[in-house]
This record gives sequence, C-alpha cells and structure tokens, in this order.
Amino acid sequence: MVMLVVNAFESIRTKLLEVITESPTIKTFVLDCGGDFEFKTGQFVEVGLAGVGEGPFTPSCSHYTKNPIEITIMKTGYMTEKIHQIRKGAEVILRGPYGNGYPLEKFEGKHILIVGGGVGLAPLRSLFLTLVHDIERYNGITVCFGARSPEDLIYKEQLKEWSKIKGVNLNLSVDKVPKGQKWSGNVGVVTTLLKPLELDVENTIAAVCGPPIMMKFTSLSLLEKGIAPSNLYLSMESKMYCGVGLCRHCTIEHYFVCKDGPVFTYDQFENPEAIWA
Amino acid sequence: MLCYPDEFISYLLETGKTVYAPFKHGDEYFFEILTEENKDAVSLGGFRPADPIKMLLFPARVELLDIPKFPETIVLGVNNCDLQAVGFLDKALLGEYPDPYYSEIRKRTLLIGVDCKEVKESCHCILQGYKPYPESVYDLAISEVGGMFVLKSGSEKGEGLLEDFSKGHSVMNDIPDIDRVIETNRELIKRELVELNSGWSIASHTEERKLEPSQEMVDSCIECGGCNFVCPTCYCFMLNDESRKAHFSKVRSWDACQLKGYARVAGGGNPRAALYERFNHRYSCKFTYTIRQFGISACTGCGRCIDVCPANIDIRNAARKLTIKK
Repeated sequence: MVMLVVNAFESIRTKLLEVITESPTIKTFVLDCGGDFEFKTGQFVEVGLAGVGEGPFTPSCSHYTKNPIEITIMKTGYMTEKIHQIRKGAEVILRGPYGNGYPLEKFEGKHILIVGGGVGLAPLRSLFLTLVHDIERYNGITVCFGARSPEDLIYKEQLKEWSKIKGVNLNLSVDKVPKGQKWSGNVGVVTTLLKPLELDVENTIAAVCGPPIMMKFTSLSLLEKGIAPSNLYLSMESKMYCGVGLCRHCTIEHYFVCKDGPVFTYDQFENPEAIWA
Repeated sequence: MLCYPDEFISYLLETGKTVYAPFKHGDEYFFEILTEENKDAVSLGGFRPADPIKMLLFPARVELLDIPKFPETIVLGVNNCDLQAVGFLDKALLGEYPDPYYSEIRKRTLLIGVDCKEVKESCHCILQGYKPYPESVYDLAISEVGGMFVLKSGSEKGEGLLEDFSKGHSVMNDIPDIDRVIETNRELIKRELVELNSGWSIASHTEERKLEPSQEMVDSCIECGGCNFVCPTCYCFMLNDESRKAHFSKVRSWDACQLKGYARVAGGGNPRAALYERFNHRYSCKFTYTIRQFGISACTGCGRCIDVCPANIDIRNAARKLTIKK
C-alpha cells in the first residue's frame, strides 16, 4: 500500500501505462502507482504534472482495482490541456485519496439509481463498477447516462457490456444528434430518461454527477419523483487547490467540498441554489 | 513576576533568538527585528501594528516542499486582537492535514502579548467578544505598571523563558494589589473602547450571526481585496506549481475572496461572479461558516479592514445590521 506522506502537499510519482481516448475532449489515463493505491469510491485525488499544476479528479475505476488505477479527465483548462498531450511512460504526480466517498453500507438492500452527464460519468463509473462487484448486496441498479452528442458519450464499449449484467437497467440519451453522427437511442436531456422510470422511491438511493445545470434539474426531477433528499447523493466539484481543507477555495456554505465532500446528500445544504451556483 | 523593561528586552536579545517588536513610524506601529541599536525605541502597548501578525507566521508567498529550518523566534508586544487571530489560524491550519509551513514556524515562535494602552478609531475587539489585553494564546503576557513589567506565563514555553530570565536577572515577586492596578488600567481602556464603539452592539465570537450586506455598501466596493490581505484571520491561499531548474515547487500564495477570479473554475464557471455574492460570502465566512467549522468567528475586531478600505467600508456598519440567529 502506498503510504500517506507527512507533508500534505507531497505527491507520489506514477507512471502512465495507457491513454484511452473516450471522446474528442475526454481521455482516460491508466496510472501505475507502484503499489496498491487504496481509496473508497467517490473519493478524489489531486492529479497533475510536476511543475505544471494539479487538479482534483475522481478515479473512474472500481475501488477494488488498486493498481493500476484509471482517471478520466476532460480537456477544459491549462493543466488538463497539458495532461491531454502526454504519452505512455510519462510521469504523473498524484496525492490523496481525499474526502468522503459513497457510504456503501447505507446502500445495501436498496435499489441504486445512477444519473450522470458528460464527464460526470467518471466518478459514477467507479461507483457502478464497485457496486457490481457485490451486486447481490443491492436491489438492482438503474443507470441513466447523458451526453451532448453521440461522440461525447464516454465509455461506449463498456456500456454495451454493462447492459448485459443481470440486475442492471441501462438507459442512454444524447441532447442532440449532429449531422454525420449515428444514434439509435433516446434524444433529449438526461432528465427525459427519468420521467418514465418506475421506482420504489422509498427504497431507492440516487447518485448524481454532471455539470451544474444537469445536477440541478436532475435533482429537482428526482425530488419530484419522491426520492428523499437524504437519499439523493451529489458528487460535487468546485475550485480547489489544496484538497485537504486548508485553502478554502472549494467552500459551499460552511462545507469544504474537499474534506466534507465531495459526496454530499441534498439535505445537507441550507440553500440548494448554492449547490448549483 | 516583576522586572525592569530594559532588562527584559536586553535579555530577549541575549537569547540569540530572532526577536520582533513593535516600533512607531509616523502614526502607525510596525513589527521590526529587535537589535542592540534600536532596542531603546521599542513602543510596547500601542494599538495594534499596521500589518497583521500573519505576515510573520503565514507569509504572502512561500514554497511548500522543502520547508526551510526556521530560527527560533520571539514576537514581543502582540495585541490581543492578533493573539486571538493566531488562535484562529491554529484551529484552521493545524487540523488533520496541517499546513507544513505554518506548523514549522508556529513551533518555533514564542508570542509575548501585551495590554493595550491606547486604542485606534477602528479598534473594536469588544464588539467581537474580545478584550484589549491578552486573554489566551500567548506564551507570555506583559502588563506595564508604574514603569515595571508584570510578566505572566501562558504556556510551558513561556514558563521556560521566565525561568531562564529569572536566573541571571533581578526580578521581584508580584507585590500585593498588583492585579487590582492592572485591572483598573484595563477597565480604563475597555471604557474608552466602549465609548468609541457606542453606536454598535456587542456580540459574541462563538455565536452565529447572519448578515445581508446593504446594496449601497456593496456598490461602493472597488474590489481591491485589501480587506482580505490585511485581515489577520484571512488565510485563503492558492497553490501553484512552478518549474525550477532541477525540480519543481509548490508555491502557496495569499488569495482574496473579494477578487472575481477567486472561485472561478477551469472552463470559466464562477459560483460567485457577482460582487454582491462575494461580499455576502466574506461576511458569511467570518460570522457563520468559521463558527460551524472551528467554533469561533473570524473577526477579532482589529479594524485593519476599516483603515485599508479606499471606499470607507466599515465592518461595524455591516455588523450593525447583523442579527443574532437563534
């Protein structure tokens, strides 16, 4: 097991084994940590390039996969632009894991509804694969994933496999189908997948991750369906430097997203509007 | 323990430690390194220095990997507003994952508090639930009575220093009634503060207060971030990687929540893009969030944000509109 270092800002050096192109803007990086890297699904790590920068990302593999681990990153700023350019064999720095993951013990015996949008599928894939590992502990899994367009939908090949797993109900949607792209499934924002779902809401746990606007409407839609706010899990992200509850940049109300999250339940917030801001 | 001020100050120099003390320049006080040459010019017991004590303990820009070995340091003449700010920073920065730089500096620093003998117009510790004399956090506290120092230790570190000092120097045991004299002096300063702040209500530093800043106040803000930088409890920082020839370094530098880019994420999303939201966030952070996080508010009433503000925004005017949330 990789030991946690005393200086909270010291990283371990990992080796990039493989880069998987998921979409025009999203890649998955397979990292050799040099030993088992223990984390709980939903926790995050600070990943980056030495001398360039680092950022918070959630591993996208099951937490039973301890080495190598996979991290899915969207190209959206300076550091992610640089990390998208690196090749097999490159050195990637990593520290963590940080924060609280999903409290899986509370999920036992329940039906799990996983709703994701865009690159928000990354932490949810980790959750899904972790749940599937012990699928008999849960009362079925419904997955609703959305993307802007068919080519923006990530993990395509794996999703095909997921739909074959007994106890798994997979639903996919894209916002629109641009000319030249093929799509035979549902078209519309991800919330359109939720409407027809028949759920035993009393015994359903929902886990949501995606862009702020998607999280907002998905949450509102799920609450309307009758999911209890305390059963609605949100995987949050905000501006973050330190990852360990010091720099204060990630605070939402009095919560540190890094330390108190990144997984929250809806009822934890006084003013839900603060979540989507 | 009683002693002569000159003797005590000379002793501090003899310890070989780095000693900071307040000196007056113009109308303000500043912490400077004490030397044989300037030791007669030390001004103890004035109102708090212009720069917050975090300048010494939590510098504006430092490298976090390869922490240097800091010299043993003594800060002489710390007002209670700064002592309480250090108490706050200890709670915020020395938790589960301690800030490695702060914790090293803090370990090697001895704080000598002092009773305030004067107040500044912006001073309002009493409104924030504090008093103008060392209440806690100090290693040693000085009250000046009749040209003598009355020394009291507040920690093992302070006790050790007192013991060492008393070995080779003429010290006297406390004389009867000395506490009463100290108390009288303190009462006079407290009364001055109460009078100065009579337009505002006294609050507690452990009770949540909820604030809606007035639009007028927000409109006058020019977003310079000065209030953040001079605040002794504001410790928000950025962490950036910088390339060096042979290695790389993580650089920690102060940030200010009043600046627009503070919470902006890659891709451009900004949860507090409007000034009102940032303004509101600052007060919520000071009077609500930090109480939930660390049990105490993040304002010690030093008033530096009032002095520094080009728009004359007075935190007490905002605080006047604070209602105690039950």
